[in-house]
Amino acid sequence: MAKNILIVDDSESIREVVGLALRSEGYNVVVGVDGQHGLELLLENKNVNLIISDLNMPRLDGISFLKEVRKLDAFKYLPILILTTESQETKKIEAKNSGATGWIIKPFVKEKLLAVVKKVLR
Amino acid sequence: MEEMKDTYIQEANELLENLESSLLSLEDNPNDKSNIEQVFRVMHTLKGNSSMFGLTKIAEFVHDLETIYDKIRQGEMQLSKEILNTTLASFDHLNLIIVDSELEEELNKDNHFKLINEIHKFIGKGSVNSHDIEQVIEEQELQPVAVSSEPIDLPKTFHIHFEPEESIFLDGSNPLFLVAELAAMGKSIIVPHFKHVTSLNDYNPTSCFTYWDIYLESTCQKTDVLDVFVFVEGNSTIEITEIPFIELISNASFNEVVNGTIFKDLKTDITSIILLAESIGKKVEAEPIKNDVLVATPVEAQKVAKVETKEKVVSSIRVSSDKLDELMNLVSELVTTQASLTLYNQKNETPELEVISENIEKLSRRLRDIAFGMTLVPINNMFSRFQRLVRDVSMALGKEVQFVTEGGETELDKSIIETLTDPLMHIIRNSLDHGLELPEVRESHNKDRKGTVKLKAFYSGISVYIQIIDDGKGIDVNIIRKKAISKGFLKEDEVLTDKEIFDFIFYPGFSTAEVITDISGRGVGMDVVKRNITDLKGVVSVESKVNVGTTLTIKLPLSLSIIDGLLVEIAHVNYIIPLSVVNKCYEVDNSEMMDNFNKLLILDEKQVPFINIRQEFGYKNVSDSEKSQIIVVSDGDKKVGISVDYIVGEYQAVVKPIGKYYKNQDFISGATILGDGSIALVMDTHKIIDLYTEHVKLELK
Repeated sequence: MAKNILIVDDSESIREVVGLALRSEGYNVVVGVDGQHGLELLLENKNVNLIISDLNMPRLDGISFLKEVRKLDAFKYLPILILTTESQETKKIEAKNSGATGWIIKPFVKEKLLAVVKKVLR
Repeated sequence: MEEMKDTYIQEANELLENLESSLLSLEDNPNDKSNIEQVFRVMHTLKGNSSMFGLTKIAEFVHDLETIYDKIRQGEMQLSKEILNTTLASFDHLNLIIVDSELEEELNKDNHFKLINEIHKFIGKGSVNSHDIEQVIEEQELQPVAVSSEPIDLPKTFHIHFEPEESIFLDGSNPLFLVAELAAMGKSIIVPHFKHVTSLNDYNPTSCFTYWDIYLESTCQKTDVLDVFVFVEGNSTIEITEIPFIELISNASFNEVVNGTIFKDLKTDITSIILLAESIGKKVEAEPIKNDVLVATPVEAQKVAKVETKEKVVSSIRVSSDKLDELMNLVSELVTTQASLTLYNQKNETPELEVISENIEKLSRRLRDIAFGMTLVPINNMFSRFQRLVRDVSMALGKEVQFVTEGGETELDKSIIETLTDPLMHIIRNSLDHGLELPEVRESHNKDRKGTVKLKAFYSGISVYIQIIDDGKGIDVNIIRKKAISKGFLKEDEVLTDKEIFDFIFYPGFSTAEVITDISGRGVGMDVVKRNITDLKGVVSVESKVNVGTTLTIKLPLSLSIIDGLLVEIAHVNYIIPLSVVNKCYEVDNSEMMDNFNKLLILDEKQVPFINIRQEFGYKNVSDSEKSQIIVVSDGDKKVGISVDYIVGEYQAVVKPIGKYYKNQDFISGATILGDGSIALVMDTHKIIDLYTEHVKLELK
C-alpha cells in the first residue's frame, strides 16, 4: 500500500517541489498551508504515515505544530520531518526536542529528500 | 524543476506584495512585533524558495536582509527609518531581479552590490563588490569537484555500538530502520542486546530497551556510517570503531564469538574483538584505529513565542486566466443551449423532459454563479498597491498624508481590476499632487496637518462604486466654467449644474499647464481616465467643494457577460431588462398612459414617472391590446416606470456585445440569443432614463 505523506508548508513552491518528488516515488501526498491547517488535515486523515513540515509558518509555526501533534495519542510515534535552512542549526535541535524525527535541509535535491524519507519510513 | 519556476515567480511576487504591505504598516507602527515577525517570515520563505530553485544570488541577498529583521525581532537591533528605506529599496530591487536572477542587467548588478553594502552596514558585515562575490561563488562551485576526485575507498569493517535512549520512540524514530539501513550498506552481523530485562508485567512497549552491536564490512567512510544516525545523535549513544580487517563477517569463528553475546547485556570488549580480527581477518591498508565516541547531550528546548498573525487562510489552486475565460465561454454556451431546451420543452410538453430541463436549468444557474465567482477578486489586492504609491508621492511632495481604504473586500472581475489600476493610480496621484495642500497651508486653513485620501469601494445593485475622496482644497466651479467658456465648450449664458460643469474636467484638451497652476491641476490626462473607465462600461463623475475636498466616483458593472434578466416584448421585439434593477411590475390600461401630459402614473398610491418606450423607440404609440405592463425600475434613488407590451418571464441572458454599427447609441448595452435563436436586446435602463430626462429638459426649454 502506498504510504501517505502530509506536507505542511506555507510556501506553494516548496509544497509543489516536495509533492512532485514524493508523488514520483508513488507516495500519496496531502498538503497543508500552515500548522493549523496541517493539524486539521491530520485529524481528518488518520492514516498519514509521515509528516514533512516547514518551521516558519503563519498561524501555527512548525515547532508548535510538532508539539500539538505529539500531544495526540494517535500520532505519538508518527515520524515527522522538518524542513529547515542551513542558517538555523539551533532550530534542528529545538525541533528534535519538540518531537521531530529528523530534518531536511533546504536547499535539497530530490534524491536527498527521498533518501531521508526512506530513512524514517521503510 | 524548470516547469515549477513559474510557480516560484508567481509566489515570489505574492510574497513581495505581502512584504510591501507589512513594511508600510511597519512604518506607521514600528514597534508592532507581529509585523516584524511577518516581515521576517516572508523574507525567510522567499530565501528558502530562492535557494530551492538554485537562485543563490537572490537567496544570499534575502538572507542578509532577513538577518536585520532577525536581529530586530530578537531585540538586538532597533528598527530605524534608514533600515526601512533600505528595505523598501531592496524590495524594489527584488521585484526586478526575481526575473533576472543572474543579474545580467548591468543596472541590477550595480544596484545589487550597492544594497548589499548598505545591508551589511546594518548587520556589521564587511563590504563586498561584485568581484568578491563572483569569486566566492566560483570557489563554492569548485568544491564538489575536489570531493569527487578522491580515490576509491578500500573496504573495512566497522564495529558500531548503537544504544538508543529509552525515549527514542517518542519522536517518531524507529531504531530498527537505522539498523536496516546499516545492513543495506554492506555485509553485516547484527547483535541485539537488552538493557534492563524486566518482567513482562513491568514491560513498557513504548520504551526502547534494546541496543545493538553491529559489525559492518563496507567500502563507505566512517562519516557515511555516522550519517545514518544523524537524526538520533541527540538521544542515543553511538560508538563507531574502524577495524582494519575484512572477511570477518563470513568467518565462522568470528560469528560464533559475536553471536554468543546476543541478548546479553554486556559491554563489548572492543580490544579483544580487534585481537580476534587480527588473527582471523585479512588486513587492509593499515590505518590508525580511530575511536570516536558520541555521547548524547540533551539540549534545553528554546522557548519561542507563538506569533499570532491575522492572515486569513484560503486554500487555493492556481488556474491560468485563459482556462477561466474558456470556462466562462462554455458556461455562456451552456446557458444559451439550456434556454433552447426549455423552449423546446414548453412547446412539446413532455413531462419527463420537463423534469430534466428544470434540473439542467438549476444546475446551469449554479454553475454560472460559481464560474463567475471564480473570476471575481477582492479589490483589496489593488488597494494595497496604492499604499506604496501614496507613501512615495507624498514623501516626494513633502506632504503628510493618511491613506485610508474602505470596502477592500468588494469583489470585481479580475480583468476589470487590471484595467482599472492605471486610471486609479492617476487619480490618486492627482489628489496627492494637486488636491491636498502642504501641511503649513492646511494649518492656516484650520485643517489637520495630515491630509486624508480615502479609497472606498462598495456594491450598489449591479454596480460597484469606487470613490477617491480627499479633503484637499477642492475645485472651484467658477474657474472650470470660465475655462470651459474660453475653450469654447460652453456658451456664456448657458446654465449648467455644478455636476455638469465638473464633467468638463474629462474633456479631451481641457487640461493645460495653465489649468494646473490655476485650479489645482486636476484634468491632467483625465480624458484618458474617463476613456479607460468608459471602455469598462463604467461611469465617472466628480463632486467638489472649495476647501472641503473632492470626491471622484467611478461606477462599474459588476460583471460583464451573464445577467439575470426580465424578458419583455415591445412591438414584437424582445428586450431584456436586468432583473437587479427591476422593482415591481404593474398592469395598466393603455388609456391611463395616453394623454397623460405630466407622464405620471399612480401606482400603489404613489406617483411614479413613466417612460412610454413605444413612443420613445418610435413605434406606434400603444400596443394593440388594451393593457400595457409597467415595469418600475430603480435608478439610483429614483424609481421610474417603463412601459412594455408583455412580460415573457425571467431569463438568464448571455450578454454579447453588439456590433460596431450600433456603437453610436448607448441605451442598449448588448444583445442575447434566445432559445429559439432569435435576438433580444439588453436595455440599459440607467441610460434610457438619463436620455429621457435630457430629452424632456430640452422640450421644456
